[in-house]
Amino acid sequence: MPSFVPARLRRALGVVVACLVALGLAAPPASAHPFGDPQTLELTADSEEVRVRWRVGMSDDVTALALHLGLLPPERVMLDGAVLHEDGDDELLAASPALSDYLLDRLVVTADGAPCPGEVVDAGDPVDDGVLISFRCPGGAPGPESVNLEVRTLIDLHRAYRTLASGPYGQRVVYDGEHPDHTWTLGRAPASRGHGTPTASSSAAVQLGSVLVVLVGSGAAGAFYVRRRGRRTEVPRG
Amino acid sequence: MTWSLLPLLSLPTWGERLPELVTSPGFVPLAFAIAFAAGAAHALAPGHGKSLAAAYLVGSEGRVRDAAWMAASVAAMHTASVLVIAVAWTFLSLSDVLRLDDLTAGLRLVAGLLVVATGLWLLRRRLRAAPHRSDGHGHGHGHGHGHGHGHGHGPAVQTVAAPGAVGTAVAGPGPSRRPGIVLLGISGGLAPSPAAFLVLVSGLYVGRSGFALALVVAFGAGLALVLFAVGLVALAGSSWLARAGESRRALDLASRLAPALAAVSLIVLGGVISALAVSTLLA
Repeated sequence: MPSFVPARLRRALGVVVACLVALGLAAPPASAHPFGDPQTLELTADSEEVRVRWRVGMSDDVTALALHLGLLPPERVMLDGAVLHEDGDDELLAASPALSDYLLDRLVVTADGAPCPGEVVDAGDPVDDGVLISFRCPGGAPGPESVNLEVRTLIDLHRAYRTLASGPYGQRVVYDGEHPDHTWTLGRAPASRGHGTPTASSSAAVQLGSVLVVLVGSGAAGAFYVRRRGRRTEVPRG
Repeated sequence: MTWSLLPLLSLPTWGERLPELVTSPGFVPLAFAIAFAAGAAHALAPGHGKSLAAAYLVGSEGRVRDAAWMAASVAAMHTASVLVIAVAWTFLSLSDVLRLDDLTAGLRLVAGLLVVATGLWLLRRRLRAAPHRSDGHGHGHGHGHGHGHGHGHGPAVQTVAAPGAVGTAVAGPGPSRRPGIVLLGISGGLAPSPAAFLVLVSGLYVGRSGFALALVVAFGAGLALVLFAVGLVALAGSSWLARAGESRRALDLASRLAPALAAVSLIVLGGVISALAVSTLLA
């Protein structure tokens, strides 16, 4: 069958080439896309103080911040600009006063326009436990009804950094370079419930469910159309 | 001090802009266009098993429809992965149980094992089919894919293929290629894109989860388009290279060895991926 042989050999050669390409170019999935926890922040308050627990995110972010603060030599930056986390980086950063200075400079709490002085209470583990900072606002008990928290951490390293913040009554907000400020309600539940409340969870479930229903419906309609079209194509062939 | 940062932060501009679309959506159609472009750009970066997919498509004598299945599988798996992880991270405090770095390494291990399984499946299929192909000229009968319908388990039906046409004839022996294709697709989409994850988490935080998920779907569509194009290039490339070949004897030898080579390549690469994931988990 002269017409078959070329097709067969064509495929075979293609496989060989594809195998060579695969062996030469394949990389582990997502190896070029580090994926990990983003930078987070939790705000709590009582009548005496406002507490902020800041977590840096990934371990690599620890190294990046340590480099930024001059705690690590520039040689740790590879030629392609990447940095790799090494054992000891966490401890180095946690033990440095530079970290406290950096956080107190870039996490700013104000109440009724007056600054609330901050103090780093615990910086033992920036990755898992986070750094705990206490802010005491003027006026004493019962404390302010609301505070403004400005967050500009890590965005001086790169604009893509964001901080996912949560607070009392399920309030949630995303800080980034364009949105470094947010006013948090402390005294009583805000009129607009936060995005972490049961109501917000239900809202998310409804929204996500709606999109999924549309997706599944579109897929089913498409599959039905393709099958029906296939049947119509078969009929003339008998 | 200014210097280039982590690979995470060296994402393409499209990827960097993606999370901003949720908090500052602006012109919504443009947001979807950016999400689509970000997905396409993400697919062009290393990962997602593009080379594996190309090897498998050619090695299993795939067709255009198989390339589409492969791309759709990756996109669907990626969307599902982002959705599950983002919801668990936001509402179930996933990070208290498992750090996302470790979760990613675990997903890579699963992905690698899936690739190994696919390679073993392909190798077994080839070994079973080998006696039927040992006469050196083949038989040109397939299993009924020539009618354009989706299933692949019908009886042997003579298919008519134009010489040189890509994706029209199925002369491959054995059962459908689809299980392997879907397995590779799942493998390629298991590990989520950081940008897509951040988009959905941001959406959950600011109460725009539906819009954020729609953006992730658009991101997946861009991802799928590039993967589909890679599959087409692989199929077309195999056809072109064979036409350019002159030594029929060498090609005939290659025709006997190459399918097994494709399967072994998958096994080896899947093993490497798994080993790297294990080393990350143990580090």
